[in-house]
Amino acid sequence: MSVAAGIRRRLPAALAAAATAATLAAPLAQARTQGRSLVFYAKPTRAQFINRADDRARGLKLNPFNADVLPPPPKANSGKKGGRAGDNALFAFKLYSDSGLTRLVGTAIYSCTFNFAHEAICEADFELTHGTMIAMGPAQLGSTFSGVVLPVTGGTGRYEGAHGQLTSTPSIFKNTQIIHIQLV
Amino acid sequence: MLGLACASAAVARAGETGHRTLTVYSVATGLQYINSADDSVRGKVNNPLNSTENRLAPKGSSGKGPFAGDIALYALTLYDDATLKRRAGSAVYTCYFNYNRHALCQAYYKLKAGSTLVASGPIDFNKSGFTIVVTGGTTKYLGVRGEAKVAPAPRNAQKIEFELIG
Amino acid sequence: MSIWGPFALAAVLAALLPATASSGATRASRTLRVYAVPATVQFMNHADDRLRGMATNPFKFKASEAVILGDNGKEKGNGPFPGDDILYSFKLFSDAKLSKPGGTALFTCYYEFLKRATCDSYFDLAKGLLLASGQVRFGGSHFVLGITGGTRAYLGALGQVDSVPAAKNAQRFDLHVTSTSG
Repeated sequence: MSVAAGIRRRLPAALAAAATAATLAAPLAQARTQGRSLVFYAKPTRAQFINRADDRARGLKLNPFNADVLPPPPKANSGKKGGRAGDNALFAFKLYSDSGLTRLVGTAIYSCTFNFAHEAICEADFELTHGTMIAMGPAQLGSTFSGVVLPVTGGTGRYEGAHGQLTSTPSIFKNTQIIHIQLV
Repeated sequence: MLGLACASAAVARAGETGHRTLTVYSVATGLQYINSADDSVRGKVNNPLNSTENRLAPKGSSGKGPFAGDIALYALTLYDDATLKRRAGSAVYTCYFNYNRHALCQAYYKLKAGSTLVASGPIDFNKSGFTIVVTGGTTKYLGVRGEAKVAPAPRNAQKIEFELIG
Repeated sequence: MSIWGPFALAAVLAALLPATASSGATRASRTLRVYAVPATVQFMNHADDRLRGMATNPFKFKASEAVILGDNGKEKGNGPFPGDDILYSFKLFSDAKLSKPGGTALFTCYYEFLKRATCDSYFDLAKGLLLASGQVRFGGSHFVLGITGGTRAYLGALGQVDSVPAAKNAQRFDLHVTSTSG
């Protein structure tokens, strides 16, 4: 058999093998999370507020970035009551898979750093039975934690490689948040 | 044979789902600096670290800063192009300083039609440009990842070039 | 004209390429192992901000749960307490003997409740940056973070970072990068 003929016979098999290998090489973790939708019912358990008024005041005077050129935005630290730039709000939740709050499936913590006009950047960590998920994004925080939409940015264990978005909305039932996670 | 060759080329590109770019221009409209000097001093004396870790505390804090533990919060307006005439949205950077004028910054960009991009990464405040990691998005940018390259632009602006996957 | 045409060479090469090809191609999964030695550690004690937050906050939190003071007016028990943060910088090495420099890493850990922190980290490696985040318990020597992205060779990276103690006061990080797109 000529070399060329040998190659011709092996080539389709090699191509088929390459196609199969590429398909199977999609990480198992991504296969587990892709296209999934999860719903949790989150009941708040603890909350704390870190008021950095002194650090803010000190930062107006002792600032390496020349505050005269770029001052804080107008009304950044005045106006109606609420978190001010640099303050932190921490919210802890228990997570349930049912609206009756009987099946505990994990916990979540939201760590939010305020910037301007009562908006904050929140980092959410979900500790679940088979892994964790992380989300981060902006949240408008008035006097209550009323609801957010945050991009899901990663995860571990069963949720390794998770990405998508979570929507958290208040439920009228039992002071809970309904968290809907959409993974792509 | 041609069909198989084309299938092979398609397979070789498997995994590249939707590569797109987006360019906006940002102008900083406000800065709030959080000076954590007292927390740093208190932390040197009152902390739960072991002796080995305590020996690794930074030696002194001379100069203007920024110093580890300080925070800089920037508010920005986004524009569609370098003329800065058409608004594209707004952004906020929250930068947590660590050492040698470096910070780990978290950013969000609120764009038209309710879409948001989020990004994180180290920024060296000794330099004028930086690249941070796009870690996610919502709505039109649901599930994206990628990079945001930021460089100085005319009129006190910064050009932000997003390279997005997904 | 040959039946192979110009596509033949590309097809053969594609068949011969390994699943995890060199940089520039789409990878499936790979693990980078680095050893980290702490270089600088700073603790930020926000006791005054916590106390102020009990009295002045917009959320009507229960102040009695927030801060517990002892007889001496100081916070009871050992921290870290909610709001405290610890900044760790590391030198990275690619070998357990710590002889081959492999970059640097930075962890910023913000403490919440029960001495657990959300840690945001970046690994500055030769081929690019990797970012990872997740929960870490204070004093815990083993933890797992989710990789949230990267730059250059790690553009679009996802995966997870496993951390265990190693010899010579080092920490071993296994960076399981499960997806990048070059």
